[in-house]
Amino acid sequence: MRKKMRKGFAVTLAMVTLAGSLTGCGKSEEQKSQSTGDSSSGLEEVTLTWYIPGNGPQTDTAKVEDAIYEYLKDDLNVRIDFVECDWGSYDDKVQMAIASQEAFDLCYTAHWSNNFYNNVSKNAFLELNDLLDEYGKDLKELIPDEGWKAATVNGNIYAVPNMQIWAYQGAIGVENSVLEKYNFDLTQVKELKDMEPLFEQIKADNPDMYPIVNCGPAELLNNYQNTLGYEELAGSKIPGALEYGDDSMTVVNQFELPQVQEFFKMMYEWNQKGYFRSDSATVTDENMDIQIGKSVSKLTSTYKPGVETDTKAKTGKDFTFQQIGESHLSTSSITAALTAVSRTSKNPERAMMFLNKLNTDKELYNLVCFGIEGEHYTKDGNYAIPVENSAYNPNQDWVYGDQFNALYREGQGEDDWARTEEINNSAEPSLALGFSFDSTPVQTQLASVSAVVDEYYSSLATGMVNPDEVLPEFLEKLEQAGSKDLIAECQKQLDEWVKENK
Amino acid sequence: MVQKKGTKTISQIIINIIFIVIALCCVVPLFYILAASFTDEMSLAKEGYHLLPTKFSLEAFKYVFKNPAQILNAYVVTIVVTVGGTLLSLLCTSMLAYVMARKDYKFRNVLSFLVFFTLLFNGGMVASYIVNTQYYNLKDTIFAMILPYIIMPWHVFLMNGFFKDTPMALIEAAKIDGASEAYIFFKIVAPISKPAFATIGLFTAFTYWNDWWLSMLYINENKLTSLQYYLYRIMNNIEFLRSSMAAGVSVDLSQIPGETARMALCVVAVGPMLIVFPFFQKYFVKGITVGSVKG
Repeated sequence: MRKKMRKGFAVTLAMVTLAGSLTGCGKSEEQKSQSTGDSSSGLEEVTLTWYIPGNGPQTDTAKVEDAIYEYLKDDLNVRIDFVECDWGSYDDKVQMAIASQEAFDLCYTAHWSNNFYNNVSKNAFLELNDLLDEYGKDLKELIPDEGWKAATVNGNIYAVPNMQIWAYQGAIGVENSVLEKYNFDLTQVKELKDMEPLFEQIKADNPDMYPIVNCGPAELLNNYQNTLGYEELAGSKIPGALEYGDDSMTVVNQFELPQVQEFFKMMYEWNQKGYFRSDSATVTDENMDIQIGKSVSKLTSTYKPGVETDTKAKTGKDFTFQQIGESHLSTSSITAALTAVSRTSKNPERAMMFLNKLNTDKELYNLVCFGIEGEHYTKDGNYAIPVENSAYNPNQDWVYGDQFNALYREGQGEDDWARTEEINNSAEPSLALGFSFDSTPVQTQLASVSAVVDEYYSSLATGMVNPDEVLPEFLEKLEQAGSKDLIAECQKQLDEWVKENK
Repeated sequence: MVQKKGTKTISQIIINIIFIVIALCCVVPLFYILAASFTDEMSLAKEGYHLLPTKFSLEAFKYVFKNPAQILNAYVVTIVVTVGGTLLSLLCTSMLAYVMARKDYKFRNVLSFLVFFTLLFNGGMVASYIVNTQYYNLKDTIFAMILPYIIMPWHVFLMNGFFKDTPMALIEAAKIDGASEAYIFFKIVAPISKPAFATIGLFTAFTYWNDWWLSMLYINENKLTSLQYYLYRIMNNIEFLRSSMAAGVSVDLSQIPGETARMALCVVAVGPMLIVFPFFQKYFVKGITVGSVKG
């Protein structure tokens, strides 16, 4: 009995130790077997690890990786190893990889996910200037100067901008059936206020309805700031903004601007009249009310060709969009999607060669976006139609690189990319394009100012409170929290930036 | 005598009512979730939550189980991790706690302090990530989801408190009879400590069952995705698809259930644990109180 016990104990212990050591072995062998084989181009085979956000691992990623390797074997001799994450966990995963100095080569970065500026200040990304000149000539030519400017920090380029819609262009969308019913001419709408007659009629006929959506990503002020003519420099909803076309480059508190104060008043009025849900501040899903027919219009800040199809897909309703205001290019509209090379990369030259190829070679780009033709999608002219239950369909062509390389998806127009490019080119670049605010010197003020903004912003933006009473209180509290310091710091940095770049 | 009995029933009724109310507060939200998961998405948005589905629909569950092989696989992974992890954790935790509780062990205060120290201070996330990925090479192995939770100091102390109540005389008697240390632990101490094992086992099992964090951090392979992380991903993807900025998405997104799918996910995730819990309940209450009361 005693012996048996002892034996059992020993066996368990041995198993635990063995299991631990086995996993160790398995992994290191795998790593060893990676660097073999030479290509006809004389380059040694390397593997590039690429962190990419999205919908998580695709079933056939390994197959696509093989296909990419086959395609690049004789040329770059590069094998791509995708680390596919979900949007929700992407930030954590990449941050962890960066913090632990894990060796990887490429990653997606932006001002809103895997924060580009934080990573640059942490020294996580490689300067690309020389690499671009040597290995990325086509790429450098392909992307307009505005793009490179936006990806530049302290005079160095730290990422390759992904070409997609770059311009901010406000647009109001209204359901077609409503436009017909009330015989409303949307093309005459020049600003949001022009919608009031229509809303009044709708509200008179259907007291239960909320004509416009004002919540979540479709929150009105957030989508309308470009049309109101200012750009937020210090951060979203953080005091510190620049008015478009202001040559003196004066940083202001956007909540003190007369047009914004006017806007808050309008929101209060609209809330009173029930033009949107009075509890909008607590709702996050902007499409649900449109889907069930409670709301019939919404505002967007980035109008782009195909936005109608997009809306139809999300809500099941046919919309018409009318652009209001002018279009602008700003740093944040471009830094919404970038690809950076990690400082821990063992083969930065090859990474740049790959980026160069990816952004200029349509076949390679479509392989990455849609998978293998015939197996994961079928080609119909310029359109890619994914097969049913496709085992590889990440469905996000703008994450990888120059989206204009991609085949169209169903519902897009034949010349959508050309039209998007045209909007980008015709948009007026902001005077501060390329400037990015470094908030480290005013960290404490930023924290207390954010707390004040959290307290007041939503109720003002959704008209829950009377701005005549609350706005002065809000501005006063902002000042107490240190908004003046914040703006002064922003101004100082902007002045320095102007001096360096003019 | 009769009167006394009467007051007793009245007070009993009152106490019962109080506890029924408390119990309802816990159970009713669960029923709401269950009902919502079987409701049609549109009718949920229009009419809100009801205890009975306003319009019955299996759409949410169909969406969650769209890929049955994957979800089955995730279940298997989670069950393996939970069962394996709990057993291993119980073994290690109890042995450590037992040693710390033995009064004849010279360094037990030092050991206690070392364990206690980790309760207050730790190296943080990045340090553990580096150790796990670069030294132990745990990335993309099932052990990445098991090993980090093997010893939780809080559980060690709970068990330690329990073992302290085991009479030393019992151990000495066994020793005189010629029993080895392992025999004493496994054949004498462990059987009389069943409640402690059950309690800690349940705690650990919950930890393993509910964990998605380790899976998110260390697992990239579909094969090894745990249930909670898989559900978390489905939810994330619904949210992303419904408010995505990607142009020309080719699926009809308006038909993807959002709110109801969330509820269905919740039902799928908590279901098995609800079934497991009653089996442990017998020991549960005893285990907690015994561990905390010390003479």
